[in-house]
Amino acid sequence: MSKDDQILEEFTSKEYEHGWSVDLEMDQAPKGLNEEIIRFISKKKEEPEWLLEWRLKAFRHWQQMHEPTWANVTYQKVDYQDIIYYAAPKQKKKLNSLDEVDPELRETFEKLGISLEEQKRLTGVAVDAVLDSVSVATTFKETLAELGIIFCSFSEAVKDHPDLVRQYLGSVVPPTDNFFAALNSAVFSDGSFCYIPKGVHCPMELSTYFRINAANTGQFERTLIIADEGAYVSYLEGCTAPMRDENQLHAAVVEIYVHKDAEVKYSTVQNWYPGDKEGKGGIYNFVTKRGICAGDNAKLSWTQVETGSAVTWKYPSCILKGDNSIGEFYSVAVTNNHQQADTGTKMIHLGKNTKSRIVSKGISAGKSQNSYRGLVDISKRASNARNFSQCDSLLLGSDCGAHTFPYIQVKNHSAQVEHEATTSKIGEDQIFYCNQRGLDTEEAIALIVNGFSKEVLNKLPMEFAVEAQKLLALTLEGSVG
Amino acid sequence: MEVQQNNILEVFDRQVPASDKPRRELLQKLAASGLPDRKHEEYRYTPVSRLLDKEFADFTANPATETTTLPVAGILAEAEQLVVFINGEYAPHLSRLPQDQMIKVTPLSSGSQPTAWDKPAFSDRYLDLNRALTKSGVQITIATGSAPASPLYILHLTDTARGKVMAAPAHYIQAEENSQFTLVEVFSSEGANQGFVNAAIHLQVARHARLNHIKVGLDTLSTTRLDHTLVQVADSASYNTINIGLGGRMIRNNLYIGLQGEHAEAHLYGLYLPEANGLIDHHTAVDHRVPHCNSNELYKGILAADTTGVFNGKVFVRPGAQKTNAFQSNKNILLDDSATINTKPQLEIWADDVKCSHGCTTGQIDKEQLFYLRARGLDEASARKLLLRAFAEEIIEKLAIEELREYLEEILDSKLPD
Repeated sequence: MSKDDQILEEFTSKEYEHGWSVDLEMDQAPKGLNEEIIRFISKKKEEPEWLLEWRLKAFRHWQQMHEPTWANVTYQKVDYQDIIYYAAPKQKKKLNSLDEVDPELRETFEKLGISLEEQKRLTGVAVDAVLDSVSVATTFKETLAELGIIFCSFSEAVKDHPDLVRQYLGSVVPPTDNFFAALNSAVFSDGSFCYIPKGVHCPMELSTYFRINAANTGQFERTLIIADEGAYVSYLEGCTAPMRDENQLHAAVVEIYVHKDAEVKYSTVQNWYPGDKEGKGGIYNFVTKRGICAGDNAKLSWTQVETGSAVTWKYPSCILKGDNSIGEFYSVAVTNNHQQADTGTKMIHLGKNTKSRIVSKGISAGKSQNSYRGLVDISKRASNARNFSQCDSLLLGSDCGAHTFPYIQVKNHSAQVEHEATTSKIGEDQIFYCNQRGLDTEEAIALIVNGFSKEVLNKLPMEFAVEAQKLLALTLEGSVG
Repeated sequence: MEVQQNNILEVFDRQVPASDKPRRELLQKLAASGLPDRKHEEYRYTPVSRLLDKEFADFTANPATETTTLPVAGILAEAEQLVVFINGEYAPHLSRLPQDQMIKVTPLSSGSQPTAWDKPAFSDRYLDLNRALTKSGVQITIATGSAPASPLYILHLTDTARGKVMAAPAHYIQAEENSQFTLVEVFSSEGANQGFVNAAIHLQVARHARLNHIKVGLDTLSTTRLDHTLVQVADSASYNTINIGLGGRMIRNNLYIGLQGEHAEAHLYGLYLPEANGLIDHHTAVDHRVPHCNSNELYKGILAADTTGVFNGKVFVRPGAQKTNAFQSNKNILLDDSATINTKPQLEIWADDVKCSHGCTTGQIDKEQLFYLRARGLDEASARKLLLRAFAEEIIEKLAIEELREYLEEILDSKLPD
C-alpha cells in the first residue's frame, strides 16, 4: 500500500468524535404525525390560535405533497409516522445566569469545546443554546435589549412579540414552499428569533448551537431573522450531534428578511453525525434556507462549512428584490465514507443593479458523492445584474464522485453572468513540490486542502473560523493537520 | 407521477400499421409514459410535446411534393456527393451517390436498423418515437484506410407548401478503421405550413478513424425539429462536430458522444442564432467511459429580440476513466431584454485523476471593445456588428470547407442586426 493510500485509509477510518449522548429527562409526544400531534405541540408551547391554524394549514398542504426525488442522493425513505415530533428537556425555568443551567447540559457543551462560560468570557458571543428544540440558556440578553435587539427562542418570540412573528413568519419561505418546508411549518418545535431594529449595528456575533439529542427525535428548527432598515447583524449557527444508528431526520427552515440598507451575514458550521464507515446511520439534513433582500442596497451573505450528515440537501438562497442589493454564498462541503451532499444556492435577481457571488468548494473522499446544484435567475427587469459563480471540486480517492448542476437563466440583456467549475485531484506535482521542501505527504495534503478552502474559510467570523478549521481537520484527520 | 396525455400520439398511431408489431410496441410504451413535457428535466425549457399537441392534431399524411430545385444551391449544386431526403423520403432523382469504392451508400427504404449495431447508453422518448416512425434513411460506410477527398452532403428538405409535414429519417454512418471523412448535413425548409422533423443519425468511428461532422440548420419558423446524434468513438479515433443553427421554430439537438476506446477524442463546436420567436436548444453529453480520453466543447449563442437559447452540456466521467481531460465552455450574448438564455453546464465525475472544467458566460458586447473601435472611427452599429461577427467567427472559422464557410458568413452578415 502506498503512502497516499495509507493516508486515505487512515482518514477514511476516522470515527466520529462527538458521538455520545447525555441522558436528559424528556417530555415527548408519541410517535407519528397527525392533526392531533400538531395540536399537542401547539398546546404544549401555549401558542395562539392563529399559529395553530397556520400549522394545520401547512400540514394539510403537506399531505398533498410528494417527497422530492430530483436531488442527486439516494437514501432509505423516511417513515414520517415513525418519528417523535416533539421532545423537550423538562426543566424550563427562566434563567439569568449560567449557574442555573443543568450541570449535565453544561457538560455536554464542555465536551463539544464550546462551553458557554468560555464563549461568554473570551469571545463576547451571546449564545442561545438550543438543546433538542427548546432554548435553555440565553446570554447577553440584557446588553442586546438595551439596543432594542430581540434575540430569543422562537417560542418566547411567539409569546412576547406576536406581531413581529405573525408579520414575517412564512414571508420568505411560505409554508407550502416545498415538502420539507411544509413539514417543518406543521411541526416546528422551536428555534431562534432575531430582530435588529432600524439603524442598529449589532455589536456582537449572535450564535446558536443546535444539538439533536433524543433518539428518534426529528429536529424541526425554525429560525427567523429580521434586519430592519440600516441594521447589521452577523449570525452564527453551529451543529454537532451524537452517534446514533437509526437515521435521524432534520428538516429546518431558516428565513431571513433584510430591509433597505441592512446587512445580514449568516454563517454555519455543520458537523452532524455522518454515519459510520459502512454508511449506517447518520443524519438526513433536508434544510430550507432562504433570505430576501427586500429593500434597496440590502445585503445578505451565506457562509457554510458542511462536514457532517449522511445526506445533505440544502440550498441557502437569496431573493434580490431591492435595487442594488447583494447576495453572497460561500460554501465548503466535505464528504467522506458514504456521505452524500447535494448542496448549492439560488440567486434570484429581481431588482436593478443586483449583484451575486457564489464560491463553492467541494471535497469528496471515500465512497462519498458531492454535488453542487445552483440556480442563477436574472429576471427581465434586473438590468445590469451581475453574477459570478465558481465551483471547484477536489477528489480524494478513486471511488468518490463530484458533480456540478448549475442552472443559469437570463432574461435581461444587460446582465453579466459568469460561471466556472473545475474538478481535479491533488496533483502529484503539487505533493512533490511540498515533499521537496520538507513537508511530508500528510502535511502537504493538509496545506493544499486548506488552501483550496481558504477563500471560503476567510469569510467566516474569526471566532468561527477557528472552529471550522478544527472541523475540517477532524473530518480529514489522518490526511490533514 | 401522472402521465401526460398526448393527443399527438393518436396521430402517430395512425402512421404505423397494426401488423408492424415492434413499432406498435414502441408506440404503446410511449403512450404509457407520455412524451416529455415541461415537468421533465430534459425538456423543461423546450416544450415540444405541447407544440405538437396543438399544431399536429389534425395531421393525416404528408402531401406529395414536386420540388425539383435544390435549396442552398450555391453549395449543393456543386456538391460531388449528395443524398437528398424530401419530407423524410429518399429522393434519388436529386441525389448524386459516390462513384468510387471508398464510400458505400445504401438507402434504407424500410428504415430498419442495420444488424450488429450497438445501442448507445442514451435514451430519449423522441428517439424512441423516431424508431417507431422512421420509414427511410441511409447507411454509409467509409472503407478501411480510405480518405475521400470531397465531403458527402445529406440534405433534409422539408417542403410544406401543400400541407403539414412529418419526417423521421434515421441514418447509420460507419467510419471504418483508419478512414478519414467529412459529412455535412443540411436541414432546410420551405412552405408556409408546419413541419415536424424528428431525425436521428447514428455514427460509429472505428479505431484510428477521423470523422468530421458538420450540421447546418437553415430551417424557417414553420419548422419544429428534433435532431438526435449518437456517436460511438473507438480507441485513438476522433470525432469532430460543428453545429451551426440559424433558424427554426423550435430546434432541439441531442448529441451523445460515447468515448469507448482509450485515447479517443471528441471536439464539439456550436453556434446558434435563433430567429425572432424561435428557439434553439442544444443538449450535449460527452461520456468518458474509459481512461485517457480527451474532449473539448465550445458552444456560442447570439440571442436577438424574442429569441430563446437553451444549452445543457453534460460531461460524464465514468468510474475508472482516469486521466480524462474534459473541457466545456458556453458563451452567450443577449442583445435584447426579450431574449432568454437557459444554460446548464453539468459535470458528473466518478473518477479522481481527471482534469475537468467548464465555464459559462452570459453578457453583452464588451463596452471597452466597443469604445476601442469607436475611437478608431467606426460608428456604433458597425462596431457592434464587427464584434458580433468576431464572436461568431471563433466557431465559423473551424469549418474546413471554404465555400461552405463563405456561404454561412454571408448569411450571418445578413442576420446580424445593423
